[in-house]
Amino acid sequence: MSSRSPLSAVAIVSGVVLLVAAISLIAGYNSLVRLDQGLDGAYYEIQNRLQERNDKIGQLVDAVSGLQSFEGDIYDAITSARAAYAQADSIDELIEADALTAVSVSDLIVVVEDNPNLTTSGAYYTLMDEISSMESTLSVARRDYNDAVLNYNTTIKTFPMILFASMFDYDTEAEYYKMNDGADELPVIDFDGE
Amino acid sequence: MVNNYFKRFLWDLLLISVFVLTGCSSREYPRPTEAYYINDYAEALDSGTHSFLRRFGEDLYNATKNSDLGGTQVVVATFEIDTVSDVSNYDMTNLYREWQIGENDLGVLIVLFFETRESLVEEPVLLAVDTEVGYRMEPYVTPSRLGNLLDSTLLNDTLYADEWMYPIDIPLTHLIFEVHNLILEEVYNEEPYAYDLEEHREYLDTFVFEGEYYSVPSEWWIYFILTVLSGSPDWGMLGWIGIVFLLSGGVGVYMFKGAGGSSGGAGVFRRRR
Repeated sequence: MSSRSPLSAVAIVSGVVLLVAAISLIAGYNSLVRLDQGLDGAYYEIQNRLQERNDKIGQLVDAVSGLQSFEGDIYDAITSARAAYAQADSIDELIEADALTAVSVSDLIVVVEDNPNLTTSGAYYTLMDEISSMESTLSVARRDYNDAVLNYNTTIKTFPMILFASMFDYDTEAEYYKMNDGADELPVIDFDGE
Repeated sequence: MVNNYFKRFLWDLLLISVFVLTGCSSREYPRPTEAYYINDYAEALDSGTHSFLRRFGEDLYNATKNSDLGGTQVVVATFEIDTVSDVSNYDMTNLYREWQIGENDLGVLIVLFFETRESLVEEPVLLAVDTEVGYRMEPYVTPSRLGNLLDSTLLNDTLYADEWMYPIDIPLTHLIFEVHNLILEEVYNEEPYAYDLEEHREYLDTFVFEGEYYSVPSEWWIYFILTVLSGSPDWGMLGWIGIVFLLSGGVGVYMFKGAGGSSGGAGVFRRRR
């Protein structure tokens, strides 16, 4: 018959408690890192897509011969949107630059569709395919980011993640990428020209 | 005796659980078919086209999967819709991601939307085509290139005005040849495939349908075979449940040929003019 001293029993229990605490701390921290990385990845994807759009719009406008002579205002709008994007330092400023570019893209489509000389050319379809796809990728990137934000906010507000977040100094709420109503909608593109 | 009843009860419970669990998994879109590279849910294509697209898709993937970039998968699907506006019910990005097309995101998904038919005797009417390109395929299969290919092949009414025998199959095959060639040349710097659509027409004319692609071997005969082999109905039942579980996506890998790819919304859409 063996007997243990009360001291050794306390030591074992304390050890187990410490081990459980350490494991849950590590697991919690790793979860936070994964959530944060997911959020950053989705945010960078939006930035990449915006950058692509800014690069492409100018090239596309130049590629459609004849467009330049029809509407000088488009260039001004695109230039302003590019400048806003270059200066964007926060998510709010990025959203603003995104909205400005979306408006200039819509204007571009209106000008192109109003012009029968352009709509009958092959370059028109190229332009529209590129713009439509570009807006679609941006829309998916925004949606993925907001999904990541929802996941982050939901997870981080549950117990015990809320404790870990405050312990490791993580934000308890990430900001959604909210555009004004309709600003993120795809411009209506009529390939039939009807 | 009681022991036997108890065992039978456990098997039945397990069986019901499998049915309930597999039935509960809600999916936004159907799983890709066993053929994977061709998913003709609208039943609009010839059986020869099914066979060809499956083999051609497998060949491209097998030929490219050992490259440094990864293997490309080009997947075709057809769906029936009532009007063109119903296309918006199909989120191409979600469908692409669910089917996980292409290794390292090297894939292309082409979806043909047909008008809903009262019966299969009616000719399928193509209403629209939508495409989705995997993330890493975007620099190669650009929207303008893909748009041009759609216009010059599948939607080329001038070229296919007199195509009454295979009004969808030949133009679609033409598109697939061109998409494969674009990928071979641009992504892998390989020689394009020398195709001949007249030869392909002869292939379709002489094609003999030899089997159903979409049959899933989860029928009761598996239970009887396993019972005979194992000498025990219990083992037979257990094996059958296991197979049904796997085939119904219980572990989400068996029978699934997607190479893990994802996409971000790139692609082009065309309404039939």
